[in-house]
Amino acid sequence: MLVPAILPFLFLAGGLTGFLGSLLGVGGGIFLVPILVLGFHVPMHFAVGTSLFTVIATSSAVGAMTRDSSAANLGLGIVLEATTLVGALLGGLLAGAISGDALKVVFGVVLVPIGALMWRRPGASSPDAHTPARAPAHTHTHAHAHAHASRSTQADGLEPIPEYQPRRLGIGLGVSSIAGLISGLLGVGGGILKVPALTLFCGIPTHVAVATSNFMIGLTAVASAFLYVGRGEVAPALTASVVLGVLAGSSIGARIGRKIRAVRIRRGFAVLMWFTASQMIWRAFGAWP
Amino acid sequence: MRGVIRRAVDPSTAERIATGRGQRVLLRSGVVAAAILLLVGLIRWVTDGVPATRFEPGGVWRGVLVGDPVGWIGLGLIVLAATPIVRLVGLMVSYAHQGRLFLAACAFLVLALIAVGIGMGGR
Repeated sequence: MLVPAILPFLFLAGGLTGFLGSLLGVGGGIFLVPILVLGFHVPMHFAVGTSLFTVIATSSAVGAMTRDSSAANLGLGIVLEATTLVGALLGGLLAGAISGDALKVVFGVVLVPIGALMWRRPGASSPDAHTPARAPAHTHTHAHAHAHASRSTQADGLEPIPEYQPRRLGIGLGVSSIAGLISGLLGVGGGILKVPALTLFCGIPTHVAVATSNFMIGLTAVASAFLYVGRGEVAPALTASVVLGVLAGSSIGARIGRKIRAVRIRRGFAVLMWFTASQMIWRAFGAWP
Repeated sequence: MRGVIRRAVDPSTAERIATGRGQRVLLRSGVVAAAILLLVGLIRWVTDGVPATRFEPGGVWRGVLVGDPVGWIGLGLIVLAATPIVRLVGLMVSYAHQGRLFLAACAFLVLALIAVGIGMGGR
């Protein structure tokens, strides 16, 4: 039973996750779900359902606020989204078939490699995320075309994008479907998997990958969120409080994110994530109050 | 087929400039509208003391018409969810007008898969 007195704390929890998600360039779900489950004793499936709506909010809010969202390769995002959604629908259906405790264990296990990725990868807000990635070795760089593109984009106030050609899309499609499965199952955005894959394997510059992933995660979350709605696992007041907090927090995070060097913060949260993973697993086995 | 996909995902500066500003306006409008509806619903939920109930999309309009706080919150969540969908519909229409049929078909497939998810949830 949700009492009105707890709503400000839920708003603050949402604000914190929105702020961190925006600052670190990840969806806030990896922070929000453990906070709701461990801190507010929200049932796991309700926490995931709520988190999916916050992912939609974060995707739209960040896309609306930052000029970098224009860096998204929408064609690439739409092609990858087809397989992502298949994974998301499977994940959402799978979540309905397993218990909350089993879902907590899965969440804890998935947090471990996600923490490792957070430790290693350049975040969206870190200075190196906005540095043009080196062109793939096999790509011809046409200096004149690049200069023209840079001039065009700068004239419109947009950040210039280095010339690049997407490659190895099969890997991108495969990773996207896994990211979708995890998103539908655990209520996270999945960008933390997609961005490294697009950058490392598909030759996409980091800030293009971040913007493309942000475009995709909102669509992915819509499909699976309604599976949770259909099962009655979305509590209106809980979700409204958290979504409003996330919108406020991500707004602040997007505004100050560029001023903060996020590498150390990100590594601190990677460690916190591993700790949280252990708490989720222990909670599932009843070893945590 | 591989060539078609490669052309579809080839980054386009012109497209980036053309779609950037309009989409930001659309997203901002959707987010602000959703936030207002959620806030109104939440305030009424606190002041009216409504017990926690389920969010049922089918009952949203009826709830809004009778001033039910859960109806307002539900409408806010629907507006929030509809925002990226409207953006995608706009992109699909734009691709179709440009003759980029592969991308228009992919966007339609994505919309169909989202409709499957919403349909399964609405049963």
